[in-house]
Amino acid sequence: MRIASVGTAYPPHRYSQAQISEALTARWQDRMEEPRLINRLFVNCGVDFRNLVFPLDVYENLSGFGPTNDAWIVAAVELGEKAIDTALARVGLTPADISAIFFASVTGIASPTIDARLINRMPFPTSIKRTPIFGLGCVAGAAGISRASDYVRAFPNQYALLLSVELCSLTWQDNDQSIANLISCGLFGDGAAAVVIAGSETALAKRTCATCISGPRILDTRSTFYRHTEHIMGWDIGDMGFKIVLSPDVPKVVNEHLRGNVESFLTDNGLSLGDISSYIFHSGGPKVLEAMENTLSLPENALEASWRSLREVGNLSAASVLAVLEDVLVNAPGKPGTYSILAAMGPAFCSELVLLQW
Amino acid sequence: MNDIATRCIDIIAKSKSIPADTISLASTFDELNIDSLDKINISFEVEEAFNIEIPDEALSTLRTVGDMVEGVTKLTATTPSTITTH
Repeated sequence: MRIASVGTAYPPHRYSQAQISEALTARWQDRMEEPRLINRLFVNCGVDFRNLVFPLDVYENLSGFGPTNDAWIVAAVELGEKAIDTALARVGLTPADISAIFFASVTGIASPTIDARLINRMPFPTSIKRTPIFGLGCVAGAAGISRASDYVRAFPNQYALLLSVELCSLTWQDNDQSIANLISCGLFGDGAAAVVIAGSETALAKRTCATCISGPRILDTRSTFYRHTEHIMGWDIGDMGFKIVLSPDVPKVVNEHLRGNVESFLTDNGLSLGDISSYIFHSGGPKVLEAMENTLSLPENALEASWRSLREVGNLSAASVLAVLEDVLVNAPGKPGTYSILAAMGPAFCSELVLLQW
Repeated sequence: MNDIATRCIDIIAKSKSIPADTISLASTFDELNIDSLDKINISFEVEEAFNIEIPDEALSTLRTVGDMVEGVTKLTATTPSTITTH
């Protein structure tokens, strides 16, 4: 099985970090003892730009979970369709070729789910198997690839599609000026990504041509659950929607667990860290990326694609690692035979590793 | 050690509840277990004490206490009439 294609889509309203900081400072200055804290936190987020679903001046008119979630549904469907169109067009597929769809998001909820709404707009087969995933947060991009690969392992002549849409700006909370919420408002952006996973007996998995961009094979996946770490990250869900839970201990968890997880995973595949040519890691934020670099003793610039994605669009939660994957696939694919690790961590706390071979 | 250095160290010591005599100009913020959020809180205290405004982008470049003292010294030099002495 193989990652055949990735497509991303971003909302049209693109702002510099300074513009967003200025807007939120103006909006919340009467609620804070020291409003300059917003910009002082924002400049440390490693983010230069973000694309937002709405123009900045619209957000203050969005109030309450219901209207905000309604806006999320409309925007998620539109953005999801664009990401799917891009991913499929890149390999000459149409929705009719897809047998299973996995949809991951943690920034809004809907029933019927976003994937169902897209099936009504796009010519997917009515026999398509749907797996909506809510709550995995940032790990869902990697975990979605793992679950989609599980599916095509069982049905090797089929294509599975993973879609993640994360509209983090719709979780900004007017009534929460905690450090966690301010960092969240400075770090997370809006975007969508779709990934086509080709079973090993599909035409795309078998295709070889000199000019084709050939995505990597998925060799193995590894989920690791860290018991009793629920306080590290997640949502407190209330009348106003999703209120961030974000512990400063996230880098500590990375330091404590990631290297052991990666080494164990690689050993089970007859490999070691020295065999890995490139790293496709979730753009969690500067502290998380630094912890990943340090704990794995990575060479300088090993996570450049992740840092670049963070600077250009912010942390897109589940969609982030998929945006990094697109960048690598299109701009810096591995040489044939080389190995990559795709990785993300998220609420539980937990990690998901995917071993790839180009 | 000059007055600016002494006052910066006192602010850091108070903020982190550690003895001032364990802090030197060569101490790194990492060694003192001062994270980026601590640094922001300290920056507000330093601004108030010296009546200066530290550029938001400057904080991430500070590695040692000496870096902070150097930065404060430059900022107070540009606004000498507004330095407070409390």
